[in-house]
Amino acid sequence: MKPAFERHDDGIRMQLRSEEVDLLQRMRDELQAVLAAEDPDDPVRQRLFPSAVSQDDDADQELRRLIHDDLLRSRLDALDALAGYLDRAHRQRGRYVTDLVEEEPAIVLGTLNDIRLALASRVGLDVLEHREFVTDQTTQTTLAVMDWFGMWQEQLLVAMDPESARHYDEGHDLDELDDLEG
Amino acid sequence: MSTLTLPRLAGPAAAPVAEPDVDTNTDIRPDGPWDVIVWDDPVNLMTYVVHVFRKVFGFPEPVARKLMLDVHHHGKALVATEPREQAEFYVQQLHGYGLQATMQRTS
Repeated sequence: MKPAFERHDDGIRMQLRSEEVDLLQRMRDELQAVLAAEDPDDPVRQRLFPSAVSQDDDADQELRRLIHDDLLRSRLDALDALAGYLDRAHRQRGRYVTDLVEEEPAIVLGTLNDIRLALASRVGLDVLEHREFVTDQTTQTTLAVMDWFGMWQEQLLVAMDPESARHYDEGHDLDELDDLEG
Repeated sequence: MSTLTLPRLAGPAAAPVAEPDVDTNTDIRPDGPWDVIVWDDPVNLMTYVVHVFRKVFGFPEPVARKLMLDVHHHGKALVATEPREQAEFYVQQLHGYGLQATMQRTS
């Protein structure tokens, strides 16, 4: 099966089936709407704008206030950029293909991660930790989408930063890693 | 609902990979060093966390991987100890990548 993301020329090729494009666009639209709504009680927002300072509520509030606007802006800009990458796709052998260059793969990686975080916030921590007991279709679908987008992230990381995608049991003995401590 | 915003209480904190010389804690600046902590969460992929540590801190892969495993196994890890502004910068970067990170005064 062709990966959704793979190295191509000097960049990374995104190649999605039409139902994958539809899914990604829908998830993109939903996250954009949540961010635009600016509802502070929304668990998605709470996860995407989390605690910043431990053991000092005043300092935490202050730093979160400082961080908030730029963080919101960069997330919204990334979602806009993703829409653009999908729009400029051309059809090739049954896929919608976009060649991503420069910072574009990193932007896509971030949007996929934000979408997964948002989906996780919707289903709740208990569900994530006990997913084997999940019976309702909607939640199962959400978990499946999270897994699918997680697979895309892995493919993208293999293409962008192969070093990060090495498995811990390949090459390095964990004791060897301990020697790297000061 | 989701408790993902609350840092989980963890077991023993991981030892920092590169600890500053303890004597530097005798500086007389009113605002001493701050620890940057990354907390475990059930969503971020291990591969992704390694990538983020490489990008934000410039760590070589084995160091980034070791820290990621510390977060994964111990619930949290100390990733940096810095003056306040630098620590704030790191927290902001890490939040941008979707990690749960907080800063606290170095004890």
